[in-house]
Amino acid sequence: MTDVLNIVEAPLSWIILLPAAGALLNGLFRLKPMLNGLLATTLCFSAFILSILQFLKFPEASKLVDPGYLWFQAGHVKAQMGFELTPFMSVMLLIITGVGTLIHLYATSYMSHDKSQARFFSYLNLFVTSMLVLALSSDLIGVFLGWEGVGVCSYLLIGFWFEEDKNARAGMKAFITNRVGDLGFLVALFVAFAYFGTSSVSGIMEWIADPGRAAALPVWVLTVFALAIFWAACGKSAQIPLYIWLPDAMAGPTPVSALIHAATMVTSGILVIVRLWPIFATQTEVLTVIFWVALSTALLAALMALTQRDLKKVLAYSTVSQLGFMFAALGAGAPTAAFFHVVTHACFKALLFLTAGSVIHGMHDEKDIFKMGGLRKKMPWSHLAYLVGCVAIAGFPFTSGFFSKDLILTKVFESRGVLGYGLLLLAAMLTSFYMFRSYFLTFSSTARSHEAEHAHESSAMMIVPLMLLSLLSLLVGWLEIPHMWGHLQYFSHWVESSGAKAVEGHEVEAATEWILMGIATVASLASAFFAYVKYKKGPVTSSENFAWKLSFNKFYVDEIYDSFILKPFRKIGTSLSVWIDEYGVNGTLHGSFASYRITGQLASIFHTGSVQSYALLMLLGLLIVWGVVNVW
Amino acid sequence: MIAAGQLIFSVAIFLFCFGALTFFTKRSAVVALMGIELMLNGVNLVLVQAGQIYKNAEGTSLVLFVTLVAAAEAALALSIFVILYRKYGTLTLENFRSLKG
Amino acid sequence: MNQATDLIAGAPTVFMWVASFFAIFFALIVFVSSNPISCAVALMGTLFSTAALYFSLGNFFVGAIQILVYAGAIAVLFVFIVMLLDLKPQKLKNLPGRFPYFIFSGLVAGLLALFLFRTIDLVPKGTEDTSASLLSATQYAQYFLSQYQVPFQAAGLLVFGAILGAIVLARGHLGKKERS
Repeated sequence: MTDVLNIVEAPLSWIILLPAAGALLNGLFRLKPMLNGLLATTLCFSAFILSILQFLKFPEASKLVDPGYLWFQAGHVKAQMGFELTPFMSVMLLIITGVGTLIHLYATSYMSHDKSQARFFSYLNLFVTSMLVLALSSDLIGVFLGWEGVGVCSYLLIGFWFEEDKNARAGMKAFITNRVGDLGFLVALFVAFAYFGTSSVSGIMEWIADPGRAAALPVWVLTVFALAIFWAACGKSAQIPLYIWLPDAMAGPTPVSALIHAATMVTSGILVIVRLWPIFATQTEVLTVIFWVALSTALLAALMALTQRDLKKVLAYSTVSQLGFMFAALGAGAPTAAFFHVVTHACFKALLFLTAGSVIHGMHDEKDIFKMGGLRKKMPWSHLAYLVGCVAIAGFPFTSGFFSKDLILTKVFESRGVLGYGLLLLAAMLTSFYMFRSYFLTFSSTARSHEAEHAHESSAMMIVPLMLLSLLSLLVGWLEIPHMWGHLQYFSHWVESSGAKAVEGHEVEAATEWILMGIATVASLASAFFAYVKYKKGPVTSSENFAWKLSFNKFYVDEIYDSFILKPFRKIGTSLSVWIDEYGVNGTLHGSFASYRITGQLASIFHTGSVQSYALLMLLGLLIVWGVVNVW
Repeated sequence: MIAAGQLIFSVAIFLFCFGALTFFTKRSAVVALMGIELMLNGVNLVLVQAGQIYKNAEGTSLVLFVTLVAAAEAALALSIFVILYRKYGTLTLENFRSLKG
Repeated sequence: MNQATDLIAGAPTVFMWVASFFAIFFALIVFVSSNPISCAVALMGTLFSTAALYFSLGNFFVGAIQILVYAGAIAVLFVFIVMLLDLKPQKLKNLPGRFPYFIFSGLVAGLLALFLFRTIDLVPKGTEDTSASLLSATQYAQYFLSQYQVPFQAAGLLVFGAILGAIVLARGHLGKKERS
């Protein structure tokens, strides 16, 4: 493979403009029910077609660019709104637009009875636009624009049914937590401008590649940059300590959870890190930090998912946990594994969420799995889809989840040893356990409530995406099989040809790899079986001990945040407002009134009404003026 | 020894100041008016002296006009005082404080 | 006539001293007296003394006018009014705040005197020009009808207005009840 870059110009901005047009049109025109949705879906689908066309250019071209236009320039700070596509990002583009189209199609039917469909699809298209801007921008400022855009759309969509206070607050929580993370992105931007002189991604990579300049940097610059980006990723991709918004985000409609909180937005942190991988590859301490934070997140979220009763909450914690897996892969120095899991997770998590939506729809908006049961007969297609999803996420052999999770575990074993591997394996086992718990409680045994007895299957428009996603969840994994099985390593090829080479670790021999694979498979199968045994007859409430309490109450993290962080802020806010408003503003007003009044009162002392005293004062005034004039 | 000019000027100053004091402190309106006349006299004295110094007729002319105006003013003011006395029964200036406040 | 410059620059004559003394003396009486009639008569005395000072300066015209108009009409008018209204001597009731007011006005007047006295040195002493500066009434008349014509006429109008005002004031409240 030669190192000559073949950079080709491509009309990338069209991919972004199509969903943007959809957002605008849907925002302006309220059409008959379902037509807004179909419009949105069509535009998303055309973006998908365009993405395929760009993808096909790839083996010849190494990078596609669209120079765009200069947004602003102030001194040497330049923001060029240009777009570029590397191979791995073009695959991500396919996921964003492809899975996005399926979700749009599903949502058209899911939201067909809602009273604000136009607004919904406008927001949904706006989200896709922002995500595309984030993915395609060639400049970090453009990425940040998209970053903020997806944050805003996330807020709008989570709080879509804002008439209920709980939903609005969930939206706010998401946005504010994101904002705390965005501080990291800003810090990274500042570092880029101050030390690299540019914020364009390719510019930064060129700058870093020059050994002289890189050596001349103060030692902390790259570390701060990497940590700042990671902090931003923690906010967006829900790692400790900024994951708290994701479970609450389930207040939004299910297609939103599927698109934003499973497939696209939450992976943007990983995407940015992979794009900037050459910097991260050199920062071993930062990678260690990333690994342990990710591992803790994966375990913590998995523990929280064990006891949840809301079907969507189980999936939300599962997402947080799986994101932890992806970051763990990054922390182990394996961007390929991380990206591979991003893609497979997008497929099966979207599948799981959409199926959950179908179930909830069929259960007339009942979300508590303790009240479900026996839906296997009533909703066969949904049942099949959910089963495929669970199987994929648990990593049963030959599913996509199997390949991606295995790759991550292997890489972690290679770089972080037995301890890291063991803990991550534990998280994987817990994943399998709680997913199958939710499966059995939802679909097996008999109906435990009125809604469950009268559940109905969903429409074709919702089932078709489910089936397509099921296929993807089973097949995508075959694109990156372990070396010992053959030569299908597309993901490695894509990621590495985009400039992200894995950190050199010690490769394990084939025998070790077989053993690791075996252990993981047995572990997940065993956990699934254990879940079957425990929950096949329905919910088990006997063991609600202290550990259960901890898990069910999410380890009281939200409460801790509230009392240690939020309460002081609220107190400061109120006391400041009292201070400034009452004493400052009112005080100033009253003070100025008082000054006028007092001046008037002082002056009226001289108004005695006696002409003689007036004359006296006039003379006095004259003398004063005379004196001043003479003295001066 | 002082010159004549200085003496006359001093007299004028005294007249003016006593006139002012009379105006400021007397309780009866008529006497206050007398104070005004004193002040005018002081001014006239200065003017005449100035006429002598600068050797022209302007000093005298001004004096003439001042005197004229003083006469007219005194006449009218006293008429008004008469009417006031008839209406209020007193000319004590403390009672006329409607400008107060 | 050399007399003119001497009158200002030279030493004051005895006449001047006496006239000055009386002027100030009578002014003091006006200020101090509590009896309005005493004040009026003392005012007349001041006016006469001032006229004497004018004569001593050589300006006979103004002196004559002073005696005729000021002492002869205005002071008489004052005396007339005091007698007409039968103004009694003012008893000095000690009103609150009266004394500080006295002090204050005394201070202000004193300040004024101070300022004025400081300007005495600025008074020019006159020149060696011995040309006549003392004019006769005829010459003044000529001035009034030529150079100072406008002020002259304006003064006439002023007096006319004053007469009208006096008549209105005199008749004022009687107009409706009686015609006289």
